[in-house]
Amino acid sequence: MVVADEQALVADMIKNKKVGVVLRHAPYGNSFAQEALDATLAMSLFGQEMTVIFLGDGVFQLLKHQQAADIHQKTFSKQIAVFEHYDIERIFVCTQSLAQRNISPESLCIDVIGAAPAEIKVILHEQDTLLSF
Amino acid sequence: MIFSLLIHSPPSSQASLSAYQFASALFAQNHSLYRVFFYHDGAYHGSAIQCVGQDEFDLSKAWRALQQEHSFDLVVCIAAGLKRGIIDSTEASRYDKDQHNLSNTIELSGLGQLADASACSERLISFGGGGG
Repeated sequence: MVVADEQALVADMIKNKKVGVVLRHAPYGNSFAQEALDATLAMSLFGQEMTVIFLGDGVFQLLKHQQAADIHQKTFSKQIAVFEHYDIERIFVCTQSLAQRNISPESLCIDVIGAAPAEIKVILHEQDTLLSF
Repeated sequence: MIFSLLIHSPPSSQASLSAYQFASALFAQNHSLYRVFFYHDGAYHGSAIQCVGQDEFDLSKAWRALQQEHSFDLVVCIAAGLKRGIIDSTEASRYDKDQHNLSNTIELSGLGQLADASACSERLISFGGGGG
């Protein structure tokens, strides 16, 4: 495990690095999206500037009114609601991915910034490191 | 250039073999590898007791040989590992399990090691992120 001193050191090293996390998978069916979310929250604790982008089937993670307890899973919409407490503020969703799945912005569980594919391309280019899940 | 790899897929996946080939190619071109971080089903790489068929490629053995030659970190995410039964002796006593199976060349550690890898490397390359 990383001890507190190392944690401070790591946080110091990466505070100027821009880290982009791309979430591309539907929330349930396997644990891929869940562990991606765990990694996103954990990475945010190390002080770097985080940008989260929901893309493709990843937009399903943002839907309101999920009741995952019925399938013995943790509900994504509730977990995503804690982003603001982790200082994750730059959250984008691909508007084309929403349109392709007939999801309206009103159906989403948190405030996110809609971005067209061309804008997402620009955002991706701005990052120092990309984590694609 | 300094690289780190993030591997999401289990040893049985072609993506994991590609990751190993990528790492070998890095050294062939005089780049350096800082850390390989195994996350999600990639955690299965941590098992010391996997046995492969005699006519099959032994990926764990290949990673160990590459690590001995070039010296870099092999880290399994502790949360991902424990969920999948990849456990070292310390964690086994903590969780009151009477078995442990982590390979002695691989470290079990937290996601901080991924944050550190992203900080200390010029490139972080992901393998096996297709889900499945």
